Amino acid sequence: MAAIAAAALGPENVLGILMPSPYSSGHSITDATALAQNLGIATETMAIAPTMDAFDQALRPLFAGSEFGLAEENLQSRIRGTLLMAVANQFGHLLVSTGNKSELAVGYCTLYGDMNGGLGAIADLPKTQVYALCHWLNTRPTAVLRTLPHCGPEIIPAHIISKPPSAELKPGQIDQDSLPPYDVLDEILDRLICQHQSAAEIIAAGFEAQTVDRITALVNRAEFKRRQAPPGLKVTDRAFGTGWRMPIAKQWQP
Amino acid sequence: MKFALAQLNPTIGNLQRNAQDILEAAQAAQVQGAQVLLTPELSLCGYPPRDLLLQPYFIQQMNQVLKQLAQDLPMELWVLVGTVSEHGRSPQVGGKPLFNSMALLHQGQLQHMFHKRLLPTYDVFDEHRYFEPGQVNLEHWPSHDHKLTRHESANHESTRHKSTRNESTRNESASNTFTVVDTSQNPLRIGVTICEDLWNDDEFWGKRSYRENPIADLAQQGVDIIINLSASPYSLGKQALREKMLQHLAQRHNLPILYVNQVGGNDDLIFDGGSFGVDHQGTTVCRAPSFATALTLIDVDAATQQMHLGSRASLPRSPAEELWQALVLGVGDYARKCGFPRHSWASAAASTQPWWQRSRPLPSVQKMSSVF
Repeated sequence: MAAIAAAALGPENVLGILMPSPYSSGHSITDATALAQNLGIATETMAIAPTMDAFDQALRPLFAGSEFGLAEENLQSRIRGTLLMAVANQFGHLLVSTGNKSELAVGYCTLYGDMNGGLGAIADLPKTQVYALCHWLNTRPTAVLRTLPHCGPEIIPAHIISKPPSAELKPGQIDQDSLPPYDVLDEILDRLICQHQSAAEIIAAGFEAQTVDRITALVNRAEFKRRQAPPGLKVTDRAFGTGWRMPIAKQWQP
Repeated sequence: MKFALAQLNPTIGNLQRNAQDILEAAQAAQVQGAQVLLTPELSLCGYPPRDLLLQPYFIQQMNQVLKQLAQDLPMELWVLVGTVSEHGRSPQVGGKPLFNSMALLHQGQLQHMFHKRLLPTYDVFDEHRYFEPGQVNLEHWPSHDHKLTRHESANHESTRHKSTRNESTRNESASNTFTVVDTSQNPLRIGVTICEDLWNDDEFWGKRSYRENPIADLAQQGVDIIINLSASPYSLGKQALREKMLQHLAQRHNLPILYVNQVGGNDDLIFDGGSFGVDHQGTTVCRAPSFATALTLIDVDAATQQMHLGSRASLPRSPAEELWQALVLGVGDYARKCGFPRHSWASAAASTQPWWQRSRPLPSVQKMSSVF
């Protein structure tokens, strides 16, 4: 995403903001910083722990006696989203939303958090294709070197590609705790979204019934989020956005 | 007879700027010896204009800018400009108040207005919301068999062109064709289609999407060449599909086809350009680059309909390269066309470079960066 923005607008016109929380791993900072250096974009850092504390205090009377859960996890994303919009607001920048199609499909994105922004640049790119694009970038194709003449020997730091994907919203969390591997997920999503298949057809094609039912339910449930997402650049036959007109308040499972 | 394919990157609603781009393309085309300039679907307002089309003042301004453009363009050039036109009888007979049209401009005048016949209403398209489908009076002339010898055809055309010019002009307009005569007085009868008009070949798709098939209708009318003015959004692998489809159409109807596509990002849609031409055997004879503005010339022999090979830009080498170029264009155009950074728009817009020499389609980032 940062590489696309740097190539599209010039690295000198792109700003990356690092917003670590107490759950952020050390490598998420070092990897992001390495990426910014490779691209030649500027970065700023704003720790969000103090803001998290302030939110905790405000919510404590109401949340007393309940376990740390999804609401607290998502607060981190919402704090980041709010800070990012403040920066964009102050300086007249465009906040580019980083969600990919796999995440938007199953709702692995936070409203008023990482879904903030004016444009979803990779919103129609399934996660597996995001990886493919990163691998391709690291072959240093001439088409890319033309637009990013100052990039180093690698564009995407290898560790960003090799580490297990994680939102890092609680200790040790990874995406595959609650989702099938992305290659399986993306194939199920393609059948569901682009090929208009029913859950029964997908199961008949050899996918685990429990997984398919769960993914189908997640896609259904995330409709209200997608309706509030920024416009996303369309690169497939069927993108969420103008070409996807699903009711939100519905009782139908494909 | 040289055709110039102007692969433009319009900004939705910036009528003056879009008209200026068309004018600059026309001037460059004329310098390079073109007789006909083709621009993409709705090139005056940009595609898709969506609900701007519901504003009467917007339509009024488009008409005015078109009129001015007709007078500014090089007189000798035949220019097709994408615009909307009013469906004057809609209050009486019903239907939508507008057509999605191509205006044929020549000698300072509007010569014809051609209307799009097939209006897509699937995926991202919603054209029935605004437009009435164009109707045609099919002119079954000179024969139902369009494979009349070229010589007979040419003679017949030129005779008719001279003797009954007014009548034939009217009939031609109603049948979505027009005729241009080259410097040796050879006429070339051109069939005009707009985007979706091309996408209903039952043989290629194995089914019909619409009752009518504008390409087959034009072929039956004995046109010499078909042109298609498009704003066809990108998706992965789309250009390969377009070239395969045109190859099939050209072979099926034994006709050359020129295809001009819009380029640039407009909101969620990326238009990839890749304008190209195929000869009557379906061979790609010219191709503009993908994801960049371009002016591509192709020489068609009016007497024989043979095409001389033009420049053929190579296609992206891998799906990843294609996606990369698409997304870089989409992000860049979205930012520039929304006017980011907010405060430098006016100064950045005053670029002196003509559009086809700009590596980036709108105010260059280099100019903007000083105040970013």
